[in-house]
Amino acid sequence: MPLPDTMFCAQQIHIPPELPDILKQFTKAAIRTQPADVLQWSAGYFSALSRGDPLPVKDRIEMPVATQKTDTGLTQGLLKVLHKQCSHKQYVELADLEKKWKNLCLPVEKLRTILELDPCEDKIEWIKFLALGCSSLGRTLNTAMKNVCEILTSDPEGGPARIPFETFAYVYQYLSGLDPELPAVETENYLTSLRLMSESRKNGMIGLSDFFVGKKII
Amino acid sequence: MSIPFSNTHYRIPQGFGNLLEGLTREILREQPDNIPAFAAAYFENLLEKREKTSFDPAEWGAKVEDRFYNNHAFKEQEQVEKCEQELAKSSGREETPVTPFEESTEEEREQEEAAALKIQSLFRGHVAREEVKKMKSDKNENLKEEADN
Repeated sequence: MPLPDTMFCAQQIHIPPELPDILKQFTKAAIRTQPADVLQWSAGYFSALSRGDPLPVKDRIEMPVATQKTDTGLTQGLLKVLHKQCSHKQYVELADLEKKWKNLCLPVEKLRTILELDPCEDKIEWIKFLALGCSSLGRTLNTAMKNVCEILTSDPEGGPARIPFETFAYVYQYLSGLDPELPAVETENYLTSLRLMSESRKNGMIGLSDFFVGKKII
Repeated sequence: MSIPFSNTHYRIPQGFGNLLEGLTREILREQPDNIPAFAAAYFENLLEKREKTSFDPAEWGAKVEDRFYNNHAFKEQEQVEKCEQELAKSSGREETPVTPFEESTEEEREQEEAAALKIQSLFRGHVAREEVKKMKSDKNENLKEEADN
């Protein structure tokens, strides 16, 4: 029921009981996500909320916050949000992906650049797109795989970031296949050695410590 | 174990307050049944307006905040206005003075305030009477039930 035309005192304003909580969650989401374009993100947030889809919200605030003035804005946190929104389907429509990409205030040119690495018609396998996104974040294949593990893992943040070896091998083969300088035999040998280790000691799971050695700054 | 102190600075995105205020006002005005759907339509509408007119309420809100706290955001605009004024002076055109809005006398203002107070008190009285009626009817029902038993 709309409000009366003339308002005389505050008691006449009816506040819907669910409104405070909706606004509170919305504010918390905005603080966590730090969107570059608040209006675009807000439209995406409420359209997802009204449809009951996963929200375009980061799990926690990312420091430092990426800005489109200094870089393309794509971060591991934003890829994680996209994963949360798209991973329920094996294949994702490019139109739908572009919409979600825009709602996270990311430049469409960056999306097109990523998709140019492996051109496709109107849909792409989600895990492949995630791999391409991670490769655009890190310069090397190892760094890309580190990002993949940290996004796909169900371990808590800062943990070993383990993922099933099959998933790791699939993504690794896909990314190494895009690089013509990497011989297929080398990739196979590397994955075989990792498989033996994961089967003998890790219950078929592979974590960061098994393949990624970060450079120590002294 | 939680850390009692943290140096993380939670920053509200610039212009977010302005958007939140606008959304809340519209929700209270329209009283929609489905708030998320209404909010989605509201922001989609704002996006369309922004595409057509290139006016961003969030950006505007951020500028207002910036002016309020730092007095930076509108400096360029002020300089442009100054230039225009100087040009007008140099061209010899005399601008017609703007007549100030006639202020209402103190008596009128007092009358208005008294009327507003009267209306508010009447409405509050009406609400109170409704509550008393409700209480009385509840009491009567209870008495009837006791008499029946």
